[in-house]
Amino acid sequence: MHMADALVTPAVAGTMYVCSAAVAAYSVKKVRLENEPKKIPLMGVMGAFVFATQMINFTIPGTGSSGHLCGGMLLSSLLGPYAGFLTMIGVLLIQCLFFADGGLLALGCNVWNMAFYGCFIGALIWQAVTKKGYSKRRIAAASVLGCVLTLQMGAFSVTLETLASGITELPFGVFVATMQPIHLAIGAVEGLITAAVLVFIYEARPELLYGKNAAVSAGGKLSFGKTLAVLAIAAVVIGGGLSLVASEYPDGLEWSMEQVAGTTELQADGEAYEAAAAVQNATAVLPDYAFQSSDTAAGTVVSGIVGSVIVVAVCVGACYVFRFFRRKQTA
Amino acid sequence: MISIHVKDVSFSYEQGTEILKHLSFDVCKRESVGLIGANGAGKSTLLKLLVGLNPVDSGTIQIGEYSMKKQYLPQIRAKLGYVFQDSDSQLFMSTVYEDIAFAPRNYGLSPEEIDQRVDQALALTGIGHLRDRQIHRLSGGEKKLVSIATILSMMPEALLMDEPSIALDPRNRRNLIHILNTLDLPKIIASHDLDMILETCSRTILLSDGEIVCDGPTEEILRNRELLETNGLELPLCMQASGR
Amino acid sequence: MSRMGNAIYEINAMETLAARDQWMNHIHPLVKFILTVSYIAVVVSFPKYDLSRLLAMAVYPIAGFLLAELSFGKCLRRLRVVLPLVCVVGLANPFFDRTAVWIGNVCVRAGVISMLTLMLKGIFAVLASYLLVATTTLEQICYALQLLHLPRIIVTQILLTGRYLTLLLAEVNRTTQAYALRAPNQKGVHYKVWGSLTGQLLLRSIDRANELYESMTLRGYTGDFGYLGAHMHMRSQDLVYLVIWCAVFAVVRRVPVILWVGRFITGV
Repeated sequence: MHMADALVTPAVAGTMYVCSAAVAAYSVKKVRLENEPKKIPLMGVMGAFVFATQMINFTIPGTGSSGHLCGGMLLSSLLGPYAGFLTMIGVLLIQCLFFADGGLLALGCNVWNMAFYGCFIGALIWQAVTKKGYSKRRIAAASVLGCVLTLQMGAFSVTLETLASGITELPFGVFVATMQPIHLAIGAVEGLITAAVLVFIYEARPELLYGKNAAVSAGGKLSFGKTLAVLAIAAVVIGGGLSLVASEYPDGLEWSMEQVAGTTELQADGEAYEAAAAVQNATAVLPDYAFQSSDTAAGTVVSGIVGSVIVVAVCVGACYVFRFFRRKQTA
Repeated sequence: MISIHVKDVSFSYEQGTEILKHLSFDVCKRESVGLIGANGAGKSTLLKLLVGLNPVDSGTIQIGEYSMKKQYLPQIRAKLGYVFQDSDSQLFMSTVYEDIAFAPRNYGLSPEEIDQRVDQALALTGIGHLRDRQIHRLSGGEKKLVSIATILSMMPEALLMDEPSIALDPRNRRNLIHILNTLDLPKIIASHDLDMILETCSRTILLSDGEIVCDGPTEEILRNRELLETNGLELPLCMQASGR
Repeated sequence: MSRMGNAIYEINAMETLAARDQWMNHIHPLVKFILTVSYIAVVVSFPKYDLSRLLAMAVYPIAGFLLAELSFGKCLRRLRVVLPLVCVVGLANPFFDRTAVWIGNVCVRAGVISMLTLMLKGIFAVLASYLLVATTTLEQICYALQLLHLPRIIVTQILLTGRYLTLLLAEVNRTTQAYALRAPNQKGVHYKVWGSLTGQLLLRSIDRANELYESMTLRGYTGDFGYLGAHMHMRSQDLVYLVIWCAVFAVVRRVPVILWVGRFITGV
């Protein structure tokens, strides 16, 4: 679920950063309004908790495999959507820095795919299911439903972001058909684990659940309309942002639009030919025999390889010289 | 000079189960007081009452010129430095410097003053070499000394300590005792480590089931085998050896 | 539960590296942070068939690893986290993109080239982030984020999470070890104790957070952390470092360096 940097283009990454940052700014405002100094240390420790417990392997009965805890849903049911979202940002950043789980550039995407859906959509579902009061069954239902739905949305976003980046040739249908079912299973398991934890908390110390305390829910309640509005605005920003940069990076975006819309037949023969030519030019190391004689083609390959070796050698050499002089200086 | 007056104080977490029952004592002199008692006797709870972390049910607490009221909490907390049992709860910043600077910064001191406070606290606890280290890479003994330094940087008038010697190896414990004795501050130390109490405190209060059983010179109380044993404690090790 | 042991080991290893007294570690964190993000942005901005020019971007990680005296081998272990999704996405390319391309006398599908480009991007991005964390502590990164005007509440939260991460990892590790010792034939945690095992850990963590809050309020905390992180001055050499690398990125992005050098040497 964590997207790597390689899967996004700067345009997609930037757009997602803007969306996530907007939600983060709003959440910061909300958490400040709640004015609960106690929440800050709780957020810090809960972030570490989610991080650490995601390492536990929970055996899935009847299978040999194991599942993990879903952080977003758990955090939003304990801290509320806003504080939960901010906490997830920290968790995702540390995961990406220390464990290479997701990338620095793709962080905006990951925050959106996991933290936004997990915390906000998760909180909406949580609120809807527990509206008429809390019970073990309702909490379990909310957790499972929340995890499954938010994971589906997250997985779908991963698909869209990857396709919009145009780095894969996977057709939209195939990609979606691989991502969604896998994450359906993962979501169900994560939901059950999260449900087990929340039911335990409900029985042991129910006051810890967000919204159980009436005073809290009045201020920090999430409205369905607002969340929908955020989603709509995000859709506009993402759509607009991507089409703006489309002209700059025609390669990725148009391609993916074609894939999504299934309008590849628009390409006339001539265009296809030009496209192929563009491929050849771009991969100048590997020119087409149609444009150059195979002798020169082979020559280009050779010069490509020689060039790589020389560049690397010069780079390595320069570094060693630099190190040598630094050592001398410090010695 | 700090003065602590506790008068007829009772406290319970839940209705019906009183943790502390009608406690009264004063700390007026420049003395260090040991707070001893079996597990669950109410030592930690009492310390937390003194800094206003828990509200009293009945009775009054007076710290210097301030009575225990919400509006005076900042002043009271600046006077009484509380050192937690678990250093990891006390130390939450990333480096030793940052953690020791946390309190002075919150009290609005200038960067120069903060620097000076930090260096002073480091010098008092003898850990100047740890100044820029990362907290989570310190050993247990180092963490304890840093915890004390984070409190000293507030320049409190008295120290409250909850089990300071717990989980320390003999050498670190010895060092801690040495540092506690060199600190020129009144202290209230809650501990099961009776030998340490013997070395650091002149006066001892013995708590049992939330009541003060005995309040007097440490030497006298810690020598009284019968008194200690009826209240779930034993003679300090050094006394056990000499008694045999 | 080697996953957990691994995580603890990894964090410790990174921190030991970042705490070294090394030339690269003293470069201003903001410079390193900006460089890392720009490097990754430039790397992923290469068109999907632009293998030859992308290759030249290798100079940054190579130079960085050599100058910071880091080991490539240790870093490559982290690729196992990133590569699965990248591979799923990339391996499909040869099957769907069948445009023929000639390399000398060998015919190759364009999809193979885009696959290689993708994987190279993945590797470069991981190398660059590793270079950042191996030479910069979390506090320094937070300091950089603060200079970039990230809200303090988020920075505080990252710092606190970082501070309590090792502690909670160790606690979770102990708990699962204690569990495994009493349930020797189980691979993971049985579903009957999913709730209680994790729930107990959760309650303990919340208690710790409460105590943490108490300890903060006793030292004058009222809801806002003051200034955070290590104070570091931007030196002129930091700026030079930044400018040089940005220039290199710009040149490599625009000019087929490798081909030029190769042609110059081979005279083709």
